[in-house]
Amino acid sequence: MIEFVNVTKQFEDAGNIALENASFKIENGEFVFLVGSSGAGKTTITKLIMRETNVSEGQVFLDGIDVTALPDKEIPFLRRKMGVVFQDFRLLEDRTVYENVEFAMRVVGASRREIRKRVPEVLSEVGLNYKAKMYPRQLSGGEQQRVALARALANHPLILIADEPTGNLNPKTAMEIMDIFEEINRMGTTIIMATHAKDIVDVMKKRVIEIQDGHLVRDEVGGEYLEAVQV
Amino acid sequence: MKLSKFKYSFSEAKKNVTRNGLMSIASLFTIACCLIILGVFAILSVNVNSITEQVKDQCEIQLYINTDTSEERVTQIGQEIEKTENVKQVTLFTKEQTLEYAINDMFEGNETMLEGFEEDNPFSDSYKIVLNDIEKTKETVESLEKIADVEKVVNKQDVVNVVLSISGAVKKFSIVIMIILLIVAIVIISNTVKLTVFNRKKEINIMKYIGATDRFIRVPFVLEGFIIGFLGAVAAFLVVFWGYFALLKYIAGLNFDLFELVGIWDIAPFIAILFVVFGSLIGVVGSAISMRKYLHV
Ligand SMILES: Nc1ncnc2c1ncn2[C@@H]1O[C@H](COP(=O)(O)OP(=O)(O)OP(=O)(O)O)[C@@H](O)[C@H]1O
Ligand SMILES: [Mg+2]
Repeated sequence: MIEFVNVTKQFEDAGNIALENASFKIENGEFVFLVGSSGAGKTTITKLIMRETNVSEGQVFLDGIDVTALPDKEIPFLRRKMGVVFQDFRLLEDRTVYENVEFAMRVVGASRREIRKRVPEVLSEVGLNYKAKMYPRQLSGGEQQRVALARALANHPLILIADEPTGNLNPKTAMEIMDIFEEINRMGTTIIMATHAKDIVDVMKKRVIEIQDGHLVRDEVGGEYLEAVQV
Repeated sequence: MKLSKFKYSFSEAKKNVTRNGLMSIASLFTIACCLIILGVFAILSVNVNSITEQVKDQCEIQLYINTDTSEERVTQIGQEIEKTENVKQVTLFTKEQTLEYAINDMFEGNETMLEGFEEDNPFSDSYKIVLNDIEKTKETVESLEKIADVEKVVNKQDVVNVVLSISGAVKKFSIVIMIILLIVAIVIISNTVKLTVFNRKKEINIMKYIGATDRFIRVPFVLEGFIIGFLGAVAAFLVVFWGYFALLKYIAGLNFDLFELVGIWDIAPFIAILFVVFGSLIGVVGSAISMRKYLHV
């Protein structure tokens, strides 16, 4: 469970406030879209959950642990509970698909046996087993995002955080990725996804949290994208 | 750290070294050069030390006693000398011994010149004195001169002073050079590693998102520095070993026997250890420095 309690975030070198007095709760197994115009504060929320940055005020709880009070050396272990995917995939260009996923498991100290078992497994979950030996540049955008997703899932995260994962993909490919998300969520992983993709949000009918100028303006289960103007 | 993790770190480090091959070779070369200069000064210091020791052994003090002193008094003076501070060893040379030495060695072939001296020995009894610390020669000579019936005390203070001042200067200079070289080498290697780190910022960033600990990220880079430093040390050792070997061979051909240089097998282990320690230290410290600020993602 993730809980934001009166969270305010102001970046040191920024004039405006990125997030102001935001409170919300996300239960285990939920699928949540974060929507709102550019600069609204969506990425900031994901960064606060990962402790890539820390709050100015308030608290962020993850399974009852106050993430904002975590000592620096605990941060890696916090991040092992979550998988992350980004708009720009962030794969290692000089490594194959297999090695990119393997890398994530190496980092957390998985044994060779676990790696041999898990990498093909997670690659087939995203439907890429047959391209394990290819390099990222030999893959389409959708395929690269699947690799990134496989990497994020390799260590069985409790939460999947996605920051505009379909931003660089065409609508058809984007929907295919979302199908995988849906499947992952069905297996119990909590998903938090920041997005501008109106069609995806509208079709999937998940919980929608809308942020405008750092303020939480809407929190609706089975909601639609409904940008900007409030009725 | 688990062995599998270490093996992984080590293979990552090796990849780093080859990935930016030219920079690695450049810094390996520079570190080797620094170590070679360091080695030259180390060898110089060791030899100056050894020569100083050799000169010290040659630098005894000669104490002459008034010619008409009785034998008992001569023995007594010997005891007084032994009690003087800083005196290590005392040997008596009677006037008879001195005369004999003069006849047999100094005037060989011209013994007639000394005819008649057996009856009227012109030499005086003397003591040869070896000191503990030749740097305190002056004070000791002053105390010895105060003993009654001592005619004069002769020492090779000038030679001693020259040798001591040269060896002191060489030692100080060597230490300064070593410190400068150490700093230079650390800066160089930290720049190489910084470049690797910069090239792999994306990778480090991804590692952090996945949940890699700082140590896990740092180890391959530190090992990279270590490998470069170590290889630099090996290269430098080969050069210095070969160079000193050639020098000894050259000097042996000169028939020069005022003093001896330290043998190559006496100095090689010292140089090897010095280089490996310094090389690795340079590598590890250099990369640790360059890693510090990059770890905050
Ligand atoms: N590192 C930073 N330093 C200073 N200001 C920042 C930083 N990161 C974000 N901000 C500011 O915080 C506000 C919220 O940014 P955030 O990235 O959360 O927006 P977003 O909703 O993700 O936008 P987008 O849809 O364009 O990705 C913006 O005004 C942004 O300029
Ligand atoms: Mg964003």
